[in-house]
Amino acid sequence: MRGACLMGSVVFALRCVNAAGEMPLGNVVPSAARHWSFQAPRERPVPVVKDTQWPLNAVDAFILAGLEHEELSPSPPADKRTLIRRATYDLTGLPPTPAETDAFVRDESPEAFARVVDRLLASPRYGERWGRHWLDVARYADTTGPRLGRIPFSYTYRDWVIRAFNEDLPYDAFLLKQLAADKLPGARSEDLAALGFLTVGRKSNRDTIHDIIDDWIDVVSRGTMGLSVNCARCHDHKFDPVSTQDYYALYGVFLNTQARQDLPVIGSGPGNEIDRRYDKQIAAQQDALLKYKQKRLAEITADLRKPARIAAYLLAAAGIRPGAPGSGGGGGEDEEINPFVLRRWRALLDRAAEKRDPYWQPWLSLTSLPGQAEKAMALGDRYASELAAADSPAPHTDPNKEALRRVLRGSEAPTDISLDNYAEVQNPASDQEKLENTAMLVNALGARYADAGGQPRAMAVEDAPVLRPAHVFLRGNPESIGEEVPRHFLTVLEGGKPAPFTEGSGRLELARRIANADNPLTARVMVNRVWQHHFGAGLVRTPSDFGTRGDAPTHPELLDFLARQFVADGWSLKKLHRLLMLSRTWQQASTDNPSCRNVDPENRLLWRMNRQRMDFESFRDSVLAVSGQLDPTAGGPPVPLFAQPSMRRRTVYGLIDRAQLPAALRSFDFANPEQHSPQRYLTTVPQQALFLMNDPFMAEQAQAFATRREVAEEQSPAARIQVMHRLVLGRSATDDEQLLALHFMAKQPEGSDQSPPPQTTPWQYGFGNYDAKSGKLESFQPFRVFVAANQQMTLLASTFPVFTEVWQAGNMLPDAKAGFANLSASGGEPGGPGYAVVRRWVAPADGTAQITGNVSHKVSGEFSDGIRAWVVSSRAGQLGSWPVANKTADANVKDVQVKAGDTIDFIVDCGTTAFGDEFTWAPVITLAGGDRDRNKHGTVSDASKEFRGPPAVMLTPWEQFALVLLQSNEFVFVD
Amino acid sequence: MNKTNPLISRRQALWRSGMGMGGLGLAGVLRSLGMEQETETTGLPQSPLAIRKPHFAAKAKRVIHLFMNGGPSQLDSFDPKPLLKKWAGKPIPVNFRTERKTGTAFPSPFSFKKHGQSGLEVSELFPHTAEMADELCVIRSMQTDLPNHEPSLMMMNCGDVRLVRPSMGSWVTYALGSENRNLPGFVVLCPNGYPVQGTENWRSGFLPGAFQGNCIDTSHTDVAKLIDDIKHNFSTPRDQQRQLALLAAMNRAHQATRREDPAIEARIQAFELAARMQLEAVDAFDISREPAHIRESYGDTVHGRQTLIARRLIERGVRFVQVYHGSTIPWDSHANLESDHRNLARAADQPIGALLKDLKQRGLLDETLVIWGGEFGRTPVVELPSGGDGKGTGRDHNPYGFTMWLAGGGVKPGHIHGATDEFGYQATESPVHVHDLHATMLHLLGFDHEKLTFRYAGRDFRLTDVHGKVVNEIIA
Repeated sequence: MRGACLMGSVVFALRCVNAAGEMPLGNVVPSAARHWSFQAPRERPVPVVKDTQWPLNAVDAFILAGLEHEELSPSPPADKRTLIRRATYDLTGLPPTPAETDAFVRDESPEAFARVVDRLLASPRYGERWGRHWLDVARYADTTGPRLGRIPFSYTYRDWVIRAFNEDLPYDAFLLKQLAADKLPGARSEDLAALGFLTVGRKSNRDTIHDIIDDWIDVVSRGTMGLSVNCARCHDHKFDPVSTQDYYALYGVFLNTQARQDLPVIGSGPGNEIDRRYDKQIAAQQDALLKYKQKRLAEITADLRKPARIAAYLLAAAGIRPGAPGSGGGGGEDEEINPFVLRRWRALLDRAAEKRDPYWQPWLSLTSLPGQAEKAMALGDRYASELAAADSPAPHTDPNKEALRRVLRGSEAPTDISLDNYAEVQNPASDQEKLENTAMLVNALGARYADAGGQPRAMAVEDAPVLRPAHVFLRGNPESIGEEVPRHFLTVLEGGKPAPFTEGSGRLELARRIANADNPLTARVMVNRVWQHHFGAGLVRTPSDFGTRGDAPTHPELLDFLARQFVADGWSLKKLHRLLMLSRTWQQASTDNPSCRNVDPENRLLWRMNRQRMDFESFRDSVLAVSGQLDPTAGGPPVPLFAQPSMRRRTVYGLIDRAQLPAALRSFDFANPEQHSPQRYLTTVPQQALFLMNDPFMAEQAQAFATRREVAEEQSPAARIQVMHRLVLGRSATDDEQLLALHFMAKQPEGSDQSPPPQTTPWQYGFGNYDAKSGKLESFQPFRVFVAANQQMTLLASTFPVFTEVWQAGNMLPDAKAGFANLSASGGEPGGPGYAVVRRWVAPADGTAQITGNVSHKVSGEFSDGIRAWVVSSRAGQLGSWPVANKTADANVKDVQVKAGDTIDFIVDCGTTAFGDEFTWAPVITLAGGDRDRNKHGTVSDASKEFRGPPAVMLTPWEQFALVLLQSNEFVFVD
Repeated sequence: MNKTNPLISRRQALWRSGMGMGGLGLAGVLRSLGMEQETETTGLPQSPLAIRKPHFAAKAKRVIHLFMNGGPSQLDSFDPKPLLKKWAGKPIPVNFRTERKTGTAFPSPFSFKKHGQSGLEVSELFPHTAEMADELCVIRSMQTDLPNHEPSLMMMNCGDVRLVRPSMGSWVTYALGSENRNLPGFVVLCPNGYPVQGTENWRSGFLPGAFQGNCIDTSHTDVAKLIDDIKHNFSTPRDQQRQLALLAAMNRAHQATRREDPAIEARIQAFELAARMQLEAVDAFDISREPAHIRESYGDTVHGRQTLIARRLIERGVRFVQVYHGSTIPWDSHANLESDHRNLARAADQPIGALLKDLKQRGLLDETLVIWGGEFGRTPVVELPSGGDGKGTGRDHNPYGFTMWLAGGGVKPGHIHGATDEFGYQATESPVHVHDLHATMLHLLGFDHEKLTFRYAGRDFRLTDVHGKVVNEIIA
């Protein structure tokens, strides 16, 4: 339905008007241009304070001046343990080790703390922490959102951000590269990864180019300048000095920016087999899609040249459409007037009118009169048949006939649609589906390739080869085209006279105007973001809204001072961290002071440090650090976060799925990646506690913590408690705490054990090499890892990606040896040759088993040579064999005699190649006979219904104590 | 400096320091709307689910939305058009753009009868629902913007065809909190997968994640699979109690020097609530605790079970329950409408009738707004099979006119509002756009839809955007 693209239509007009407000008229609010944030940060003298002893640096003078004005006094300094814990969390998102804490406490030199800060800033963990803050801004995720699946090389952007923080890439260069690395002189291939800032955004199957551009404008304007520009998509911004002209000036920049289809390889290593296969498959897909588009375009344009269609468009262009009665019911595709084609017909007639083209004069004069519908219909038919009769792919020699032919053929002809405009005329149902399926497949192929160790590639953008002018869309409606707008920067930041961009799309010029000391917003917005993460609240508490509707800064002079200092320090974030953290303000205690709280309950003036609660990433990473399990490996394709045993990498490397954000991330207020996220919410809900009480991750980590070497090697319980306290809380346990803990450990639960009966299951999951000739399965190995929600994209171009629980060989899928081998409730996928997947059933009793089920493989031959499935009994050998390729086979075996403990294996291997081998097969076994069978119909084992993860472990008292420590408020809050 | 009365500022400070610090100023927004929590003893002092007062007193306190996703046909359910028989096989004089190619008039294969005191006409597809005809308030003049599933599901749920906006369940939970902190405030029930557009149907958008719908796959019968981490598997219940007691002792000691910080108290309480939730959630989803006659009235099918779960949730104070007929778009009868609609209605009807009766008997119907319908309706003309001369057997999508019904929650019972044209194609009398439905729903819950806003990206957003009129004619 064309309407899907028309959505930004009439209703759009009113869309952005403030809820209570009236429709804004005319141009932008003039007084808004005088708003503080649009004025350059001024040079602010460091204030004179009464207590001249207190300030350690300029930051302190500004803060103290504010406090003194309200007759408040700052808090005393935090103790050293608190300070190093706070600093370590702030900069790395991890706890200090007991040794680090002790060393700092012992170091009495005046530079002790500065040394801690420098050490932390030099740690690679710093970039993982602060890079993640930026990824919130950049709405980072590893999937597109609904339907289209994985963004195959999203991780190269994530890793670029982390590296940029670690290397202290100056913030102006940081922005320049993210907006225009491809256009920067001397840019290296790894810099292209920075362009993921644009391309990792949300995409849905229903998005139009306008929506993608809208997303880019939003992330750029709110993310870098704290300015909401998107309201101006439909009308001049009601509150801020941003006009629709401005919006479409930026729109023009991004209209002429396109995501690269050939993702450039980062670095210059020689490609491997995976790379070559990827290139081949992607090229094949793109080639097939191109051919499909060409074929469809030929069909569509042929249809548009039919007399009936020509007549219909002529009438529609004249505002006359034949009445419907008797015309055969509702309109389908054939009857539809395509707005894009209609626009081209109108343009043709406009040109004809302008040139006073004699051929069109009769039509133009007739349709300029009212009430001529019937005559127009007749005349339209005549034009239509005449034009259609003259139509031919080849030129005519007769100049008159050739002129007629040129109406329907040639670049300006309304019925000659170029490939660039294919999307405008495609069938919105079937053709769109083809596009989507190809996109899904290309994404899935890319993700497979990336995960399997293909070379990293940049999600780069480039300028369009042919620049297109942008027009204002009246009321945001792309069908309603207003005046042309040159590409330029925001008027209010250009002194009211924006200079048109001249180099290509203008993206580099845009980037230079943003990443610029003269931009009054950029430096302020970033220092405020940094301040917010250090202090728990920004100087401006609406960090992505510096417009007139945003909060005013609590300390405007300080904000100006910091912005200027930031620029003067070469846009160095590490220098900024140092400045803030070495202030006495940041080093204050967070303890309460009722007299100050009475005056300033929100602590806007910073009479103390704000206590902060760890975000989800800090919490999860800290648990891993405390348990001794943290795997410091940096970078690379995302790993599923929730698995058993757990992924031990830092959370920033976990897979972020827009379409299905894991429940734990959601309940812990993770940034919603659907849009730019200004700051995290901070809610307290019982689901958070449930995660800490019941999630397998916590049980596993409690076990690891209680048994880690430092704990286990302590002989006495008291000493062990001390070590655990120091590891979790950075301090020793008090006598009371020790007593309490000993009491907890000593007292065994009384009464009967209320534990649930152990789960028993007849099913096992693993892999091995099956030799079909001998009918022997060699080396059955159980799968080791159970992933709660397997977010691998399936190659099956089904309607929706499937998210299931799977068993797999290692933490990563693919595994270094077993490849993509995995089993789920409904099916699975074999690894490469020699790595068949095996779903094993162990007979619980003697009897006769009936096996039913069907094996289904639905990936076409261009990707897969199919799979081979077998049922093999430990007693009777191979019971059946089903080679399946892109079809379904019944896999039933009757009357299999088994003794208790016998196994029946359901084996699938890949044939000769392991690509595209997902299958479904969930056998059902009915066992009858034997002594223990009381049910004459037999006991049913259903592979799908009985699919289970690993059995739960029972925690020892020490492990339970470890769990409680990890749950404690003292661990989770940073004073 | 704002020097407020310390007595007043205490609660405000709770909000501010709890929600405002390091997070968005939800507290401030709520406060500016006069939407403070009712009491501090109802739960976490800063819980996003704390009960909040509506703008004005209202009957409806909760919502059950029975979403017949895919688009049920109004012409075969609640909007009889006998004229279609006369035009059978002929082109009708009403013509609209549809998604696929359509043909001549397609009279309903089902018979209609009047039911109850109200004489409401209901087709033979919904005999159980028809028994409750006198409770229904049928809107025959619904309209939406587009004839495609994805944007229309988005419109019905989020009030916008495409932009990232919070869902209505999120808005309602944001507005009112939840009466039961041991359960999520907004629960989505859907068997065997997701509807079209997936989790976006119940997203919280720019509202905090706590307001997002919790989707539960009701094809599972194991409670542990219904809610994440609801079951403690690693030690005995008694051990877990001892862990929680130790934790509480440690947390109280830690709190002794941090009494002013509501976030610390909140987190202590969260563990207590979670412990109760382990029991209560299991209870809420365990329909085996219902008497046999109730279970039988709903029927032992996935639809019967999930509808009964919906009632149990509502009864326990969950604010918004959305029940999908099934994954993707089950009601999308482009072909074989007669048999497909018959099967779909057979699955849906008995549980719906039972739900209405059950709510009524329990005195819950008055304060529960039940909403039934799809994302759009279907055409009165037959859909022509693509690429062939075959005879059509289904109906295409119809956003121009379709039927939804409401029950309970302060709507007029046994009432019909609006009408479509004589063929049932387009709403001609008192059209009700989805925005109007949203405005009316919020009104029934005690909110002025123009004032229920959330400040984001420099703008005050609302569910109805800049649209929506309350349909006063359907309010009792």
